[in-house]
Amino acid sequence: MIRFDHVSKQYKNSPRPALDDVDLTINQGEFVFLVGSSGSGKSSMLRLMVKEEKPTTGTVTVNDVNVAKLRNRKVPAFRRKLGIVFQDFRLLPNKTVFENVAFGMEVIGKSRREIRARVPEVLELVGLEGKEKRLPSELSGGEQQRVAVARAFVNNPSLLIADEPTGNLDPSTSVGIMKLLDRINRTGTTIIMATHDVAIVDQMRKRIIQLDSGHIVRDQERGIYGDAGH
Amino acid sequence: MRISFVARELGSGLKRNFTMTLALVVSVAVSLSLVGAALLLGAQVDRMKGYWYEKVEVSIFLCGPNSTAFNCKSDVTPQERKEVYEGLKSLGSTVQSIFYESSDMAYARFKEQFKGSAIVDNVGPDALPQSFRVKLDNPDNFTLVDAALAATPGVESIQDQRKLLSRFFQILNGLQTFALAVASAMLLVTVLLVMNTVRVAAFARRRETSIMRAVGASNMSIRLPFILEALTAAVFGAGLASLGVLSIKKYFIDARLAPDYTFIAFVTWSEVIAIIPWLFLIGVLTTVLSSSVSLRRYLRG
Repeated sequence: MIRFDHVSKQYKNSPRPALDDVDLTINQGEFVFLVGSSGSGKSSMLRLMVKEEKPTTGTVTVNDVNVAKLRNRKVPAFRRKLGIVFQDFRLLPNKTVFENVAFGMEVIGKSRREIRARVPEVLELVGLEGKEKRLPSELSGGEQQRVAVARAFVNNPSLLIADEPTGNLDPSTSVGIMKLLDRINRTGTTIIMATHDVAIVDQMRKRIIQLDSGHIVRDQERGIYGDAGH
Repeated sequence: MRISFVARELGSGLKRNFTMTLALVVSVAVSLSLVGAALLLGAQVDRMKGYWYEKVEVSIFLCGPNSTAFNCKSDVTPQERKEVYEGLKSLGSTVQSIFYESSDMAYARFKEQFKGSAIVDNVGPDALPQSFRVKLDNPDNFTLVDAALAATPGVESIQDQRKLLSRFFQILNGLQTFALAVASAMLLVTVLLVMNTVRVAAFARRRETSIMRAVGASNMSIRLPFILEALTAAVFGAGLASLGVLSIKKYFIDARLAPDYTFIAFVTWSEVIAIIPWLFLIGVLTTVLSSSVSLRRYLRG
């Protein structure tokens, strides 16, 4: 469902490419960790998948769509099939938990009835039932990230992209978020998660793709972080 | 996107940006008031032109005993006067009415006009020439009369009253041009202010818009709240400007000018009201266009 076919990405004013001839296939329903140091190309890969950037050469295919050829006005419809979770949560501070999750449905024009039915369902899935009326500032970091995951998942995306979702959380809270992502993965949703978190990667034993200077240096089923394969 | 959601977002956006929105309303109101004043002045000039041009006449002065003009050998003879009259008649429907004023009549009118002034005592009927006063179907046809009669013996001079008025209208037109120029400058300021306001608003809400983009909101629905905010300010501003224009009519023209200058026709209420839709149109178009341009630049789709 996701294919990188000899993809390179060269940013302007950068001496070397962020991605260099990357070849990769990720199937529907997989759970993939994207690891590597800062500047290794993880973020570039994620940005290419959601069409925040275009590849310099090669093709990126997501959900059978050639992302580079996607017309600008079709991008919104394309993104509705994706869920995105950010390291800094990106919640709206003056909206309640319920409204934050509902926001994802409001802006794509879902009816009030659909929203009333779906949001509590998702809040229960992420373990936030009873906190619908809280503001983000009244929640812990882990709870805020759950709200963000709920918002990303509320439109039932086939692919969930998470960029360092546990980067701002302590280890025990991170475990909770990982369990949540695992639960979402079991519903058939593909999950791609960029991370630095060694403990989490080792614990989950999922597919690991390691990047270094724009190259894939390791692609391993049920891997652990430490096997750098030098 | 549902209307109630858009309305709620609009309300919270306006509240958050209150000072900038207020600045926008005032700026739109001031610039549109100037546009309105310029349009009002234009309507006034048109009305006065219509009013005066209907009354202007062409005066054909005939030679008197003291005339020095080329056509004048002596006092105009009855034969010459008859020929001038025939010449006017021959112009057909261009000439709508002909009125003959003798020296005595001219003197009587002169005495009436300058009653109480010492000048009356120094002027006798002989100093005032006899004349034909001619009304034309169209004041522009003065040239026809001039061409037909300028060389006719017994005609001392031909005077177009419209010429006397044209200088006055030139001043009014100049005023209108000036008001339009100031209004354009103010509109430019408004455009820049709208663009900057939208930019600030877009920056303040980059978190919100990044989330909207991430969940797949269309470009239109991401931009709409910003455009609607600018639009709301424009509508309020245009409303205030309309009140301003109406006040000029009620408190300045009707209350102050009209009683003192009864011989001038002032713009009517319907002409004043006809200006208002233009103010709204100009206000809405400039803000919607400039906010769209600004969003295109500062809100990456």
